This record gives sequence, structure tokens and C-alpha cells, in this order.
Amino acid sequence: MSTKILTVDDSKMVRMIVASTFKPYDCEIVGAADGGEGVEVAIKEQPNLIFLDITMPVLDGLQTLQKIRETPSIAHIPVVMLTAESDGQRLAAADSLNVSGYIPKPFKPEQLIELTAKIVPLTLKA
Amino acid sequence: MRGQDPRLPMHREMGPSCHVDHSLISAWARDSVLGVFKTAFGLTAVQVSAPQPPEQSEELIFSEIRFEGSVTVCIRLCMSAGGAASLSSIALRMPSAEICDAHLDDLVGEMSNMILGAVKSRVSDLGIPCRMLIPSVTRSQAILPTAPSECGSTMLYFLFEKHCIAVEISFTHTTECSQLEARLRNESQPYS
Repeated sequence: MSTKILTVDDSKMVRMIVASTFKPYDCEIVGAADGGEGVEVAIKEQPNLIFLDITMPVLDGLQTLQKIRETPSIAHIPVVMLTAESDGQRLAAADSLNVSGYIPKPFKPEQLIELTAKIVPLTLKA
Repeated sequence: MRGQDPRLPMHREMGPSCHVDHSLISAWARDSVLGVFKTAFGLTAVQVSAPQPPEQSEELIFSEIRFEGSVTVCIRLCMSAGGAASLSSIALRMPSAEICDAHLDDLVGEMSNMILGAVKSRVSDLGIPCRMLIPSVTRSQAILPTAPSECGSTMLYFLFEKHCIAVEISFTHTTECSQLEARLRNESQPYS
């Protein structure tokens, strides 16, 4: 069974870069453009891992993370925050909501692969 | 103690006596532009003193983004659609022909977010509170700006491949921030 990854980011470019990064791997990639949609997609798709942008319109990454942790059917899913800024207070808030890791933007594809492999099974396509 | 996650890159410590001014913000922005090109696209951008004259009129994409607080910084990023297509092609590993306008706008907006995000991190590392806003992207048929749009702004120009990118940086320093810096300086005085 392939690993399912959800990317929640208002930038389609970032969602596409994540999808492109995992193309060689046995992964199914789904995306959402904002936090509200991200929670809905997570409930429906039950991903193994969520990449979550911090700075987003409407519902930002921290608010989305809070919702994820409050929703029993998806509360257990590991979340990795994508962030262009390292604001200590916001990262501390994310830490308190059990974040599995951080990927600073801009990132190299290898950074995504390396961290993902530590959290969920990642195998190259046959 | 700061709450920064140790897995994120730690910026150079400036110490509480550091004075955040326009030249420091501009230097951070310059470093950030070069870092984004290197990390996101594997390219070396070169800073130049003036924009390159365009061979022909080309559509330009502008992105404006700011963070606000005790220090407010706004950057306006401008590049040609051709330049954005070249970078999109690298980032998405797709032929340029498959890149659409929405990709280009998104790329320029995300680049401005990453460039300013790194500057904001350095300001936050000094204990100065500020909040990042969302970029807005527009298009225009024009030539690259040769002068800042606001008094007190700085223009930086960079070349990559055969394209030019302009970055305008404007900076506002509130009284509150000056007081914060003074307090940090006082707290750092050794006991006698």
C-alpha cells in the first residue's frame, strides 16, 4: 500500500513541487489550498503525513493544526510544518501541538525526502 | 530563552545591541535573495548595480509582501514573465511550454514570501515582534523599475541566466522598536 501525503499550502507551486519530489516514490499526493480545505481533505483521504504551510490566508497553519488535533479521526496524523519564517513564538505554539518536524522554505527536495523517510514508510516505485 | 526550533536554520546572532536599520534590512534581503536562488533553484544570482535594458518589451510580474509590527518591512519583487517561466521550469521540473500564467504568478508570490520570510526570521530572532502578511501579485507591461517607488526605499538588482530581477525594500522603524532596543541594551549591561 502506498504512502499518502497531503500538502496544505496556498501556493500551487509549492504543492506541485512536493508532488514532483515524491514522483519516484510509491506515494499518493493530495493537496489543499487552505486550512479549511486541508482539514476536509485529511478527514476524507486519511493521509499518512501532512505537510502544512504556516502562513496562509483565512485559516493559517497553526489554526489548521489546532483543528487537526481536535478532530478525532485525524488527530493522530503526523504533521510537518513548511515555513518561510522562524518565529520562535509560533514554532513553540506548533511544538505544543505535537509537530513531527519543520521544513524551512526554500527547501531542497532531499530535505523533504529525508524527513519524510523518518516519519512514514517511503519506497521507490518498482 | 527563545522558542526557535533547533532543526530550523539559526541566523547569525546580532546581540541585543544591534540596531535594526535600513542598511541592515537591505543586507539581509540581499542575502535572502541569493539564498533563495541557490536553495530553491540551484542557481547563482549575481547582484548588479542597475537593471539590464530589455531587448524587447516584456510582461512583468510584481509581488508585494510585508511584515508588520515594531518593525515593518515591505518588499516588491519584479521580474519578467520569461524569467519566472525559467524558474518555474526548474522548480517543477517541467518544460517551459507546459508552464501556465497561474504558475508564474504563484512562483513570484512564493519567492517574495521566501525572501521576506528569511528577513522576518532575523528580525524575530532579535525579539522584535512582527507578523507576516500574504503576498499580492500583479502584472504590468513595462520596463523594470530604475528607481524606488517610495522615499527611503532601496532597489536591488540581480541577474540570473539571462534575466534580471528587481527587489525594492522599504522599512519603517517604530518608536516602540527603538524603546525595545534600548531596553535590550540596558538588560545586556554587565553588573558592576
